[in-house]
Amino acid sequence: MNNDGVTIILAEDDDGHATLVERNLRRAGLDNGFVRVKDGQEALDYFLGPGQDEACDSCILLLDIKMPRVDGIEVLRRLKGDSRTATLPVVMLTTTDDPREIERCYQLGCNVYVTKPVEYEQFIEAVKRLGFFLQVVKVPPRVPAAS
Amino acid sequence: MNSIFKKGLLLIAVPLVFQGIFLAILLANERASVEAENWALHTQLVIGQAESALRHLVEESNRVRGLVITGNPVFAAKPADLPDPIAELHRLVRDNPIQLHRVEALGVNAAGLASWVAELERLVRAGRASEAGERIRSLQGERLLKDAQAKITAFLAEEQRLGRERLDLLARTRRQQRRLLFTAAAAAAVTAFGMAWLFSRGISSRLEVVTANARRLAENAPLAALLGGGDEIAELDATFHQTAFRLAEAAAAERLYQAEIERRAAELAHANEELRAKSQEIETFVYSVSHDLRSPLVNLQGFSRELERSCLDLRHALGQAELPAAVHPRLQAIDGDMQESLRFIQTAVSRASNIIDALLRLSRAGRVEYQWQRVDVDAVVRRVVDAMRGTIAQKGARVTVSELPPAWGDPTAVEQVFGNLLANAVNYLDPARPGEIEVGARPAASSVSSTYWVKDNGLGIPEPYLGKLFMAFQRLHGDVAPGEGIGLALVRRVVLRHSGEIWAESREGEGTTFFLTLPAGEAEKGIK
Repeated sequence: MNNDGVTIILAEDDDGHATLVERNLRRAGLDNGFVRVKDGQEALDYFLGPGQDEACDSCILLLDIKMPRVDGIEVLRRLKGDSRTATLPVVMLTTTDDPREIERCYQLGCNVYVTKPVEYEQFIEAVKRLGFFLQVVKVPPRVPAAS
Repeated sequence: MNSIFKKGLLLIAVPLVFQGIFLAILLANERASVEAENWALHTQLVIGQAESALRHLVEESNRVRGLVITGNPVFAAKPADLPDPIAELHRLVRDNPIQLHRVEALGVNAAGLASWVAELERLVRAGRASEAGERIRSLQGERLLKDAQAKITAFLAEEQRLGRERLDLLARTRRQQRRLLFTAAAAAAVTAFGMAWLFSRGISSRLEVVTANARRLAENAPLAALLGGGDEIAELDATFHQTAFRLAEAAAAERLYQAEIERRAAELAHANEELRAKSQEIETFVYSVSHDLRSPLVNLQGFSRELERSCLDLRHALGQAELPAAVHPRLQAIDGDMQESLRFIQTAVSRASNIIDALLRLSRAGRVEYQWQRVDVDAVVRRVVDAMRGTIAQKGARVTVSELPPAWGDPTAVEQVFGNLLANAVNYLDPARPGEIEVGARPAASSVSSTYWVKDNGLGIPEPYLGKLFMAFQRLHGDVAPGEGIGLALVRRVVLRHSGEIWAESREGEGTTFFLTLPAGEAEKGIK
């Protein structure tokens, strides 16, 4: 697999969802590094916090929208607005299927938008497809911080 | 008697009085003139009389001379019995003492002359003609006559002077009369003008004020100060002022009502705004709650599947394990129970998820911001029909779309409306007969909105259910098609947000027609 070095960062406040996503990604055949952060602030700290320049050379962020403290939309806006993380691939993974919400995320620069369906099969299918996507996606090298 | 009549009377009376006075003066003058004329005539008469007296004296003297000289009895006859000119003259100048005196003196003279004549006649008659001639030659008679002549001349001179004086007076009187006539004419003109001016000031100018007030009244401007006086004009002006006052009162009352109406309207708008905020709040709440409910459902469903998977793994592990045969039926029973439990959980979760989805859709229909624009309803409906082609073919139905007028609204929402209505029509067709679905529009009753209809020959809706048709989670033919009973509630919400109306006419077993109105132009744009 050509993405072995890619770390998947999952920003998700619901433990159950996080577990289901990770389990099913593993079942789909992904063995990438996996980091889970519990809310938007943690996600921001992970990428933009002090001393985090080398935290992740090549990452993909799976981002939930409804999270305490800082929500996913804000995280997306801040990451895309920062030169260091502007090229970071972001996959919105959320329960909202509101078309205007989806449009807003794409406008802010998210790369893929995946709805978490309640129907398990659909959910698994979505995660599986995400797994395939993650296997083929080209992750650009991290832009070094300007100093 | 009213005042304007009095004023008019005055207008005529004053010049009349003036003219009367002038007439009186003129008459007096005329009398003076006539008197002067009489006097002038009188003078002529006196002069004539004096001359005839002189002539009489001269004739008498001549006659007696003739008698004395000729002795002819022709001269003896005295002239006819004429009135005595001297006595007549005396009567005429009674009023003038100087002339009277002269006449009296003349009388003495005349008497002297008469007695002289009588003496001579007596002498002639007595035949003493020479004595008579002697007497004549003595020039006594001549002297007497000359004396009388001198007196008459003086008298005449005086009388002629008087005559000149009187003619002068007459001429003066005539001149005065002319002057008076001119003055009277001028005075009459001036009086007429003066009265006309007074009348104009008293009536016309006041009428002008009243007319101006009437105009102001019509223009709703403040009136000039109340006119004084007690005539009809003042009365009219007072009426105008009263009317203006009443109008002002009415206007004030109207303003009051207007303010009241505005206050009520503001209250209503406020209440409306509050209601809208409340409805928005509820929709946001529903959205947020259903959204939050989704998360645990994902877990419930997800982990029930995980559990199912674990069960499968467990069954597999147990199958490989060496277990006593007696345990097998028991294990199978447990396995069956577990699978049944999981199925129930999953079905319930699916159901809950569907309800939440429906709630989310419904709340979104109320919350989503509309992109107001001209919507080509015809194209929208044809697109919807095209998208449903598969289902329509499967049901063996026929969909006819007549030409539809454009509307003003949100294209997505309008598509949602026709999508739902057509889906309902297709879903609830009567399998007993070939489906006929028609979409059309009534000829626009007004330019404000258009009425569209979707008609089917499906199952139809029984009368008692028509009222609940547009309520959420109300399902009539739950067994015919899947769904949460949200479609028509959603359609109604969208139509209402377009300031439109929706209603249905239906007969069970014959079919249903849904009618809906949508704004035809921008002016009708709803802001719900």
